[in-house]
Amino acid sequence: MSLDWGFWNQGTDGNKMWADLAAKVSTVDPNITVTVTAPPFADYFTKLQSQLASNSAPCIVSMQSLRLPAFAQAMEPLDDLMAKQGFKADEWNPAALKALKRDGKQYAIPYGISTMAMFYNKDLFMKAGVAEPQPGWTVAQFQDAARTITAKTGKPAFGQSFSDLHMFSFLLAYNGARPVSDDGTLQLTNPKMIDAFTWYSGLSTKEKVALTPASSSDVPWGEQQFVAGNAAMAVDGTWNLSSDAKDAKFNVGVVTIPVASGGVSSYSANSGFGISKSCKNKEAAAKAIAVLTGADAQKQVAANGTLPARIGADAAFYEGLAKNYDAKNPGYSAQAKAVVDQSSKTATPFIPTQRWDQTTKAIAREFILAYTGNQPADTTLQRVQSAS
Amino acid sequence: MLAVGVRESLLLVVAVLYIAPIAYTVTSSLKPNGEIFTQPPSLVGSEVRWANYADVFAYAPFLRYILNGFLISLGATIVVLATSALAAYAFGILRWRGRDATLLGYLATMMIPQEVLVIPMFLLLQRFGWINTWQALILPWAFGAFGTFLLRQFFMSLPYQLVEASRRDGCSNWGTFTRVILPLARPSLAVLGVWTFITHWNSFLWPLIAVNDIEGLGNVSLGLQTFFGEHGAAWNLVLAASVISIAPTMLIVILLQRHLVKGIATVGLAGR
Amino acid sequence: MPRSAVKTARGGPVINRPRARSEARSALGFLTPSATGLTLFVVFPTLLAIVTSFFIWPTFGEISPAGFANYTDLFRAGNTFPAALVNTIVFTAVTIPANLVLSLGMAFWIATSRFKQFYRVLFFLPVVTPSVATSIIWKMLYQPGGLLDYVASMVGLKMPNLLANQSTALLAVTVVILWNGLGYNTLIFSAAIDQLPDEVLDAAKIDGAGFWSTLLRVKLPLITPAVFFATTVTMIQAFQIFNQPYVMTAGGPGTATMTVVMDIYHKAFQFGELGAASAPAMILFGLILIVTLVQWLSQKFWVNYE
Repeated sequence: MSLDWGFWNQGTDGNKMWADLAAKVSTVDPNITVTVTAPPFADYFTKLQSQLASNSAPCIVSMQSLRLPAFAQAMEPLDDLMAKQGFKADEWNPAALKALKRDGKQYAIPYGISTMAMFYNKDLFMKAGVAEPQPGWTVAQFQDAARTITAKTGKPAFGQSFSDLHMFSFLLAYNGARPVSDDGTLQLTNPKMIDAFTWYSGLSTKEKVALTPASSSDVPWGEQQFVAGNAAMAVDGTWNLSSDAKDAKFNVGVVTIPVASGGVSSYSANSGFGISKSCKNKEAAAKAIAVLTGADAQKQVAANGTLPARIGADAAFYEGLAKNYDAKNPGYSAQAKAVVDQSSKTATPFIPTQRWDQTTKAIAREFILAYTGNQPADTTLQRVQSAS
Repeated sequence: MLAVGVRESLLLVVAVLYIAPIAYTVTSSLKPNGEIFTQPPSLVGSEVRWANYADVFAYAPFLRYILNGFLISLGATIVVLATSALAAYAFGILRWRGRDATLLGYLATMMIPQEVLVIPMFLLLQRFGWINTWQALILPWAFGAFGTFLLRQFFMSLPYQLVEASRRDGCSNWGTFTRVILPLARPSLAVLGVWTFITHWNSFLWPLIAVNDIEGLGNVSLGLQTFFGEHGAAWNLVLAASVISIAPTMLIVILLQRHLVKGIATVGLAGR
Repeated sequence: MPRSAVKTARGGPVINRPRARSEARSALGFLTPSATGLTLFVVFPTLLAIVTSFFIWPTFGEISPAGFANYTDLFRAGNTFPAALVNTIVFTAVTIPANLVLSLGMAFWIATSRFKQFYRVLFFLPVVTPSVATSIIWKMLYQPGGLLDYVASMVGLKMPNLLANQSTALLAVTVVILWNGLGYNTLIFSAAIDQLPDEVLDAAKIDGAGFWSTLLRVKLPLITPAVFFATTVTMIQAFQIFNQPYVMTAGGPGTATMTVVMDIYHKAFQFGELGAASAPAMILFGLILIVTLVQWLSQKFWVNYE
């Protein structure tokens, strides 16, 4: 039988790797053929919605932890299906599993796990005479470094962003403020959040050490400006450990997000594979997923530059980093490992609301007004809260 | 003499400034990815990366997208020209009761934005089993009233004596249509054809929804999105691919320019 | 050709009965392909969309009737629709005259040049460029530290961040949309000007009319059919703008560049609420219909068909 699998485009190398893994399913069970469709990422979820609307969703559905609340009702709980395939929870990174659970049921099996970190430009730090930060550094140290670098290099040191993970991770580290309460409601107007957000937007309006996004469509602003060499520091996910080092024309350093009192180091997020409720061959799909996330598959994923979700498969990831980047950028892979280890210790999965898309759209439009000082921080948060 | 020279040079300056953003697209498309957003902006990057253009075809089956887009646009153009010409004959040459009222109803449908129709359309095509097929890409938007409107304007500007003469000669309506009206209509058909082709070439929302096999059926707009990955975009490839996508439509416009100009003028737009 | 000698098919009395019946039958035959397609692919989905607007119709989940709730919700606090509607109307009201004046001006200017063909094609270039690409490029131009900022700094000025400011964002995006679309109308007008009958122009010259007088009182009135066509099409398109504000500013800052179609797109494809998306779509449809009807009826006052 033929199973459809939807997965967003992974780039030439990534596509090939996953296609090979899909073919592997047939060697394990010759009755099953997996055909993968790979729309561009920007449109994957839009397309998924219309597929679900007309009952033509693929059997195997790739899902991001951030989108799960919106799509969970169309997906099949996997606990029993995967148990039959020999799934054992303790072989997996617990945060990775938790992020893809909802109401206690597992809706997707993860293939990767990422936490958030602060990336910095080693060359600019050296030029400004600032010592490189160490994992566990504080907000006060961050602000000092930012001020010095801005003064010495003439360019704002930190790149602000609208990306939900990136920005909320920094607020979390500042004072533990969370945008979503434990019962899944949006709580942007609670005092801790207002405090944290006022501080964050103050980085550009008051301290003048941050680079503001040019417009409200520049969602991943800070991260991109960092890679382009225009901002000395930016928050980004560990999924970019490999590609940032590759694209940047300077030596990349990575450290944990600076914390202040009450702050927690990081959010985690990841993606995995689930089964749509409308799938007619759920058992076969479960078997396919078991292969796609098997121990060998995870090693390949690691070698390809994504941190795997299975415990023990990540050695290949660091080996890849070392091989590709340590020559020009000594100590990078070791630094990466230290940061990942430390941030994973206190990482919590970012679980958004069911209407999270509304919120992110409103964030992009409103937050820019706060960053440019055109609207006070608390009004901004209120407007986003009411627009969601 | 001097006045003419000044006017021509001024026009040239304005034209060059007008096109400058496109020129900037072309020069930016030759930079490496990380350098596209550098500040201050540079005209040329650290290297002139012609490889970007080759990479476009390596990163994604772009040639296939161009071919798909071409076939779809061509198919749609043929359908539009055929059905619109027939309908325009009914509205522009034939006389019958209720003609103008029906025409108004026809025209009202032109104003329905595509976004409204997309989901009902999808559900409909699913019923037919037409998802991920060529007909799903060619047919749904090929029946808009715009083409009928355009051609009707033109047909109405033709001397009615030609029709009467043809009838006196014993020609049926079909004969009049094919032997008298159509040959004269070439310029207006060119206008409609080019417009239809460009619209389908650039269409994005519908192909996104109706296509599962992007390599088999995806057009250029869909293809451009392939370069926007989960974690950032290959901007250099996006720009190079955009430059590549201008070429076919530009070529068509240049080749058909004379017909276009004549057609526009004779579609009842010049008040002869 | 003198008017009386030419009979066009503009209507007039239907002359003899058998002819009338056979013409009506013929008309049916000629209309069938187009009308079938129109009914199936336009009318039927529209009706479905109208029905949808009265339901809570999530992309996947339970469908339930909603009465007029989808419509009244649009005007509740926090909904982006009112801002979108205002922006769309303002944008249309500004762009139509701007577009027409600029493209007419360009067309007349090009008409005086020896290199007409070349300029027509040149100005048409932005029209055939994918709007994703042009939006990205203009964003790069507008950026602080971008090309425009750089040029301004060379003469000692600093360019403000137009796209991040609520009062200038819509204007900045409008400039891009005008730039993108002018070539289309310029081509149409340029072609119309080409076709102006020489006798009329010669007669004006003999009467001693100067350049501007000829332009405004002879040439312009003669191309009013083209102007009417261009106005109608441009207006319908203006009500539906989406690509450029979506790519350049995603509807922000605040709601400064939100448009009705963007609102529909968000609600239908990103929030998955088809019922809530169909309501603004119906309002847009109604608006376009009324405006075009008014325009259509006003034809007899200013358009000169021969």
